[in-house]
Amino acid sequence: MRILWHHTKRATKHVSKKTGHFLFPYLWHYYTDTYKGRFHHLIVDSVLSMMILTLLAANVAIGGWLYVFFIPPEVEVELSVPAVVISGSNLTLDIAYNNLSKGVANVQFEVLTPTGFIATDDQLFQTIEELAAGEQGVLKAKGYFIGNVDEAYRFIAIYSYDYYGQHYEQVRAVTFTPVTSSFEVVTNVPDKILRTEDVSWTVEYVNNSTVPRTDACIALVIPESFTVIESSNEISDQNIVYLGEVESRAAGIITITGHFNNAIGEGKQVLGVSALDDCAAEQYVQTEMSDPIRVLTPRMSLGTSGAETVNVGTSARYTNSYTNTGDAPLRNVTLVATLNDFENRVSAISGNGGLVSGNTVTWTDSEILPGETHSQSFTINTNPNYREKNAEMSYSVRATAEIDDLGILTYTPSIAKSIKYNSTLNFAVQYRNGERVGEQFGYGPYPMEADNITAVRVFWEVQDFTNDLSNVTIQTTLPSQVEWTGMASVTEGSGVTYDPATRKVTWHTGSIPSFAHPQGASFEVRVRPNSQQIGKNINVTNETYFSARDSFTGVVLSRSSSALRTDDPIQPFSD
Amino acid sequence: MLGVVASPVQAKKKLPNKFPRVANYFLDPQISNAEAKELAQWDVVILGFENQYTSPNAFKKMRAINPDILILAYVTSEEVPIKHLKETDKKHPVYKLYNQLNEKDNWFLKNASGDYLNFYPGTRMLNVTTAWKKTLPKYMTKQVLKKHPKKWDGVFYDNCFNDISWIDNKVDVNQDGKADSWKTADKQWKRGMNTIMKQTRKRNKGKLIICNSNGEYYTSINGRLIEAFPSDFDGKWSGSMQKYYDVMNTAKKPRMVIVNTVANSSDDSNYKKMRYNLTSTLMGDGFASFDQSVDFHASLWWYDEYSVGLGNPISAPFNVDTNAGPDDFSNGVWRRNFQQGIVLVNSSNETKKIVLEDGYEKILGTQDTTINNGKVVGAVTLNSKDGIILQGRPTQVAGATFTNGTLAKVFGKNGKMKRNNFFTYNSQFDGGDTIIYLEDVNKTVTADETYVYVYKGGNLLTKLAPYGEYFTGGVNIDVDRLEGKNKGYRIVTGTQNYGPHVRIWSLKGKLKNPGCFPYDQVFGGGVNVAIGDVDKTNRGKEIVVAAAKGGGPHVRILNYDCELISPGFFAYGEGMRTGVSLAVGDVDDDGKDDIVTVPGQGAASHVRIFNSRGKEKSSFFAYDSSNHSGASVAVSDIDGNGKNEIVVMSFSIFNQ
Repeated sequence: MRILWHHTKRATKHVSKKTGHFLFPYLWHYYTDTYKGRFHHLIVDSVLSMMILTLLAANVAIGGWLYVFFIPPEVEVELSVPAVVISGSNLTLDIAYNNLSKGVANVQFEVLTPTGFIATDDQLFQTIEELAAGEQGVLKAKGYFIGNVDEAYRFIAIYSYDYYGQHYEQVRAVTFTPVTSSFEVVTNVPDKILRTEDVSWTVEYVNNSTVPRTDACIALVIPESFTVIESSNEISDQNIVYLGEVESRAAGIITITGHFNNAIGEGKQVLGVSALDDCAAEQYVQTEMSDPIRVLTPRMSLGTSGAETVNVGTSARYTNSYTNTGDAPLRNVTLVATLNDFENRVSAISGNGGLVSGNTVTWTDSEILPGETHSQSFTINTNPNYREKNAEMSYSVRATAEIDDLGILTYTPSIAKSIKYNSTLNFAVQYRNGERVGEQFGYGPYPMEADNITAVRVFWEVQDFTNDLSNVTIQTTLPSQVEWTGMASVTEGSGVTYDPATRKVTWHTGSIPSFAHPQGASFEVRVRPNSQQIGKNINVTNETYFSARDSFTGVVLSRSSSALRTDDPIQPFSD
Repeated sequence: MLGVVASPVQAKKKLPNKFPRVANYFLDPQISNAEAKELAQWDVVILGFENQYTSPNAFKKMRAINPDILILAYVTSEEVPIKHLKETDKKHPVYKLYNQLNEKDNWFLKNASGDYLNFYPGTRMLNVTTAWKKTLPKYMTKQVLKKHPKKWDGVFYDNCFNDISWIDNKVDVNQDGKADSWKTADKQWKRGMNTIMKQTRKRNKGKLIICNSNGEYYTSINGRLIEAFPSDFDGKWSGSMQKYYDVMNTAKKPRMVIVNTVANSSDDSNYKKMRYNLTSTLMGDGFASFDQSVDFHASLWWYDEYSVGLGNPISAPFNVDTNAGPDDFSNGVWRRNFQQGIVLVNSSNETKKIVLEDGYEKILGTQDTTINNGKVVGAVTLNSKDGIILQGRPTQVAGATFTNGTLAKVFGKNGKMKRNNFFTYNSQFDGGDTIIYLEDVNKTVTADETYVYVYKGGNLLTKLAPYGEYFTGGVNIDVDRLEGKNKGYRIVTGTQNYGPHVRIWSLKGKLKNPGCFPYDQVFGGGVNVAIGDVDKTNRGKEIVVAAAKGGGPHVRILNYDCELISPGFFAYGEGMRTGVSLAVGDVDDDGKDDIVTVPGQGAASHVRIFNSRGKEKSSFFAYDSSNHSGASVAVSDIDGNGKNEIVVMSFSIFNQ
């Protein structure tokens, strides 16, 4: 161990001497030498040392220069967009950066956007003052994008940075393709249509975007055989419907009516539609849709008949007739009558051979030959307890059949019929005398006596009417033994009149509103029976007639009431 | 000592514009408050002139209750009760007038033998040719009529004989100690009496002066009192009626005849005799008086017939058999037509049956219920010397809002039926219109779905659309004289639908107040309105409102500025939604207007009467409680007797 320590000590001492001597020989020698010229030696050595040191420093400087200027910094940038890009919707470009080597300064990003991208913030040009080695982050460029669906578009990012007076610049790009659009269109046409029928074609559009769509259009794909009769929106010669600006979340519908004037046979036609954005300039194609429609040759005619107005508590029969107007037999004919608003209004439906289910009556007919006409009918019993103002119901009838030689299902247009309910009406005629003090409506002996005067009050009462009534007239005549006293009153309209020449009593009023309280007129008459009438019941008034026009159905409602007769036989004179 | 200076002559009083007219010949030295309250019912009351001293408060009481009452001072013109000569109270009017006679013996009427003459037991005749003829009118003027102008409306001179020779064949009118010839005596007597009458008239131009005599002095006086009608002395019924008519044709206007009949019994139930007096009196324009006897004119007998309102006469009396007029009051059945009824009197000695052309309603009385049974009749049987008042059947609810063409039931405050049902109807207007007739200005205000109209007769004065021309929800109205800064007749409109908007208009259609919404504006129903003085403050009348159809039963009170002055009360259960018809008027005669309510369609016709604080005073069902047809209500004096009834009207032609 001591030997080891000894040699280590000697070696250390030797290295120290040699290193010190090497690096600072003039100081070494100056302190270790004792000769005379050692000071001179010191100067020479110092000069020599300075030279050595200078050379060493120069080498170091050269090495540093080489490091700075011959090894460039490395900044890595990646661009990315969402996996699904929707035209017309928000779109954010992510710019991910990573400084892999040396710190750089004045890092600048400039994003070049595709046409159709509208930035919603000011982030297309961004600067980072200092970017240290190893620093990383993500910049975002936000906006929304409108472009053709399924067409490729590209973002380009140009970025640059400085390093010890050196300026570096690089470019990155990302490509994306809108898979769909927030400006959507849906077209809707019937599956089939008779050639003689007008086609109702609807195009619904909606802007699901958070931003408005300016200069939006819808391009219609219209077959040559289709003639537009009417459209809710103007259609250009190029079959474009210009919508202008469609607000965010706004929707609309275009209704087009037309017909196929040249289609023959039972062929199929296609009506298509595509949404266009910025249609005045770029015409970005958004969603597209098409709908096939079969145009059928009419082979059947259908008609229906029956009362247009009904009274509550009665029955009405409706007959539906269908004719094969084609040149081929029709098989499996199905006729369906559908009653609308029938709840409560109808107490029973009878199919007369048809199957009644809910509000439908269905008849089937195995075959109808060309030129033949078949009929089916149903009967409704109106609800006697139904009371509603201006009550109305309707039914529609439609037939379907298989074309014998083609196996195609054809049909007839639906026909409809409205059934209005006449007003209910309770018309009552009565007279009252009223013996109880305080509640007398007349005077004189009762039962009536011969040669004695009894006055009674005649009441005409109209109630329980559901529709407004107009031109209301009630009329009667007075028998010879009955006199008009002039005491009369009415609840509505002008007064009761009496014509002594004709002995007619009349009440006329222009209108009576429905569901008012009972309305009517009353008047007093004096009755003076003669002795020939003793033991008989006599007329107080003759037959009474009521007429009024139902303001809803237009029907003149008539009622009559038989002669108003005394309740009791005439008694002999008692006083 | 100078007397108290009399106030200026009181404004000339008009005779009551009503029939029947009734007078009470009430001679009682002392009148109690209770008696005064009862006496206030009569149109004319004759009180002893001494009552101004003995019962001063009685006058105030009577005039407070009946401001139109006429009070006449009774004094004998040509005689003096001997007991009055012994009066010692120097302040007593009797003393002041008669004590001087104790020292003026020559003022008494004597015969040639110097004997005092008298006509009525306990009295002594005065000689009207003496200074008495000026003393009496001077006294009655200065000490009675002008000294107490608020007490007296005139004077009744008892016993104003046309002549005097009949009293004693030795009468010495000129005091020469010799018997005068009848011609001289009567001439001088008449001259003296004329002086009394003329002096009284000259000094009291606005006052009523009547006498108990035939018609010699009618150029100065207003009429007479016919005592003990019909008397044999006057020619029984025919003669008495002729004299009655003579006065009515010749006396100074305003002509007043009091036709007094006496029962000659203290029993007040001689209804037949009373009716005979009353119906005979109603053949003219006089005042009927019925009391105990000529010796005791101090009865407080009030009869059912007195309360009837007949309105004014529309015909002269006529004999139903001969059609003779009042120029020949021969015995038979006589009739006179009035606005609100007819009067029949049978002066013959036979029972008569009278067939009437139209139906009339008997009085629903409480006294002679065999006659006044409330029945509607087309013929009546009248006993000899009997009469009857028959009421016409009303067709309008006077002074109140009603719907044209409804059946009206008439009730008292406790639900007792007061009249026979009747149909409201004015043929000038459509059925269903709302109508109110203002009798005092002879104008009719009506309302329909949109407009309010004001008519005078058949002339349309005003047409206004209170809620605009396009409003068709129906207009409710009440019309009355409002006080305060909105003083004058005002139409208060409410709506039947589409929002509870109250507005105030003049009769000329000028908007006086744009109105208010007493209920939430969101409420789609209307508001019923009524005007009355329910709180008896000095602020005048109020507008009382209730929600119309579809609304709750919340009654609220507004002032005439349409400002809420009372949060009101719920007339029925808060959940009820039929709306409430209401009317305002004094139905219990307490001097304060009451609020009368009835639910609308959908609820029983439960009539309730409230004070302004919502305290129920009484209630009843107008129809059976199971009848939910609904009703509307009005307060009106259907009888015309000065007292209000409750009129409940059906919503339709009738509710039963």
